[in-house]
This record gives sequence, structure tokens and C-alpha cells, in this order.
Amino acid sequence: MLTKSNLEVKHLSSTFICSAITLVIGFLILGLATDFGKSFTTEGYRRHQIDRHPESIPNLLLQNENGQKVYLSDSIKKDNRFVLLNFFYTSCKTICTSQTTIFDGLQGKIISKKLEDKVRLISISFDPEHDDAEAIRKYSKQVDANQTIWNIFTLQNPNDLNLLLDQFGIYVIKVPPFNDLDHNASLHLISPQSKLIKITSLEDVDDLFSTLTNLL
Amino acid sequence: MKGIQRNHLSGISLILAISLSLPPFRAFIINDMMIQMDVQIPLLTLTGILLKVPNKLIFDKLNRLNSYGLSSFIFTQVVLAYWMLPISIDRAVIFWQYDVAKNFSLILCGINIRVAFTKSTLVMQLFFLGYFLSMMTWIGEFYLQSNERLCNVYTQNSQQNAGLGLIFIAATVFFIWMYSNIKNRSLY
Repeated sequence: MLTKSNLEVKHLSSTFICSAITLVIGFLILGLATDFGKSFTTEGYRRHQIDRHPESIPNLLLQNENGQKVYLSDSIKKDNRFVLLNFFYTSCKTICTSQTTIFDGLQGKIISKKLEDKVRLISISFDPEHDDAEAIRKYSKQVDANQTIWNIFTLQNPNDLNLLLDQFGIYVIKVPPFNDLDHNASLHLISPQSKLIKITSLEDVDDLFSTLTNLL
Repeated sequence: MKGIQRNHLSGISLILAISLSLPPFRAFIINDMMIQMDVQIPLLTLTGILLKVPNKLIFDKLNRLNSYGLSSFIFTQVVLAYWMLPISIDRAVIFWQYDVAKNFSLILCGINIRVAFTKSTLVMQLFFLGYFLSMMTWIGEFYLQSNERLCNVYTQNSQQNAGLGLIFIAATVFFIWMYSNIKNRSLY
């Protein structure tokens, strides 16, 4: 009697070989995509990449709270301090308040541990259209930023925004219904040689700070 | 006659799915994870499933490598698992090359699903389908209840909707398969 199993069983060995090869290639492709199971998200992937291969910071022209023009990468190298960097925008209502609190806390920690000459805080606005020098000066006063420790910047040229976000690997999306800006930007640790060496979430700020103090 | 009708449906599904990857409709998949994961990806797979591939190709030439549809099953598992990962759908939005790859691989995947289900036994279908649908349900549930925003290009809300959609699709596929088997086979 001709059944399905009679027809199929002759070719089992070739099938097993073909299936095995498909499986191996499949695992390889999945592995390459996720860094061999380490990161299933773009953000996780980015952070692992930075851990292994620190990247240079773009040397973009910025404006500080006092309206002075500063080149980002040059400023970091000249200053020769480690930098903890975050992104913000002044009209942020919800997501940014925790960031501000965390940076305030960091500023306090730096002062209490007397690390002012080793560590610096930088906040850059990713809304340069609305955040001009006046807006960030107000913001700086609002958050009680000590200018020797915590500097607030905005882009001198709003057209540089895409380059800035690209280099830092940040995607800004609009959240309905109020079109708040959500983004994956977190805490960036930059070496005095102006290389991005670690990215962590806001919740892991204490871990990042201990990593930093170990490097000093 | 029946073959032509199936190919028509396949063509409609193809046009709908691919147009979502082309401007201006691409804005839909950029804005909402649910559209990409629960509409476009199933449509692409459906295109492949409905497509009438010449039987000679499946049953004569490639038959040796695909006894009981085993190789096809493995291929589909890999492709579908790949496109359920957050990092993959992020890449499909950001890089058009990944988007093209997604379209091709999922259509091919759909064709392989039809081949696999035609050639396999009930037990094999239950095994692979059971494994895959459990994985899909788990991922859907994870997207639904995760506090973390897993995709860089999609909002948290969008992620939760997509997760819910995945669970719904998994349940639907399961019931369709159950129904078609109860209808076609006598229980043994």
C-alpha cells in the first residue's frame, strides 16, 4: 500500500544532513544578529559593542550656559577629566525629571568625595531648535548646576543634531498623545581621551559611579 | 481553477505586505510595532503559504533533502524566530537592506510552511507548531508585561500592543490548525 511514509522514508539520511546544515546556519545567523545570545535588543547590542570597542566622541560645536562656543571633544581632552554625559531637553515634563535628580545626586557625590578635579558632568540638549543659550542658562540655574562640575550645552548648529544622535546611537521618537520625546539615551561614561567607554541605564548610576572610582 | 484563486489571494497579500515597506506606507511600520509585527510579517508569511509552487519542484527535485518536510520546518523556525526579536525589527526599520531581507525571507518561509505541512505527519506538525506557538506566546507575553522599552524605534505602548497581537495570532493559528485537522482526518 502506498502511504506517505513509504514515499518519504527512503531519503531520511540526506534529509537529516540537510536539516542539520540548515540548523547550524540558522544558529550562526541568529548568533551573529544577537552577538551570540548576549543582546536581543538594539540597546543591549550597542552597550556591549561600546564595552568592547570604545568609540571616539564627535567634535561638534556647542554653546554653554554662558553663550560661549566650545568644541565637545577638544574640551574633554583639554579638561582631562572623566565625563558622565546625558541628554535632555528643557521642555521635558515626564521622563527627564528622574535624570535631573540623578545628576544632582552625582554632583553631590562628586563634591563629597572630593573628585571635582577628576570627574565632570555634561548635559547636552537634543532639542537645539528650542533650547538656545537662554533656555539652558535657565535650566542650569533651575537644577543648581555647579559650573565647575556640571556643564550644560546645546548645539550651536541645529543641523548637527542628526550627527550627534547617530554617533551616540540615540533614537528619538514621539510618544502620542502629547508628542513627548522618548529616547534610549542614558548615562555615558567618557574617558579624558574623549572616548566613549561605557553606557548604562539611569537606574545603574551607582554601579557606574563605582566603576568610575575604580578607574581613577 | 483552485490554484489560480490561491495565487490571486497570494498576490493581494503580497501587494499589501510589500507596500508597507515602501514610502509613504512605510510610515505605518515606523510608527507602530503592531503594524510591522502583527500585520506585515503575517501577511508576508501568508503570501508564501498561499503561493502555488509547482508540485514537481517540491516533490521531485528537492524531495531528497526534505523528507517529511523536516528541513522546511527547521528553516521556518529559524526565520520566524529571527524576525520576532526586538533587535531584528529595529534593524528592519532603520536599514532598508534588512527590510528587503525580511520581505524575501518571510515569503520563502511561507512557502516552506506549506511544503512542510503537506509532507509531514500529524505528530511532527504538533511538535514544531507546539514549540513555535509556545515561543510566540511567551515572547508576546514578555512584550506585554516588560517594563523596559525593548525597541529603540517603538514606544512602550506600541510594544505592548504588539505583544498582545502576537498572543492573539498564536491562538488563532492553533485553532485554525486544530479545526483543519479535525475536519480532514479521522482521529487515530
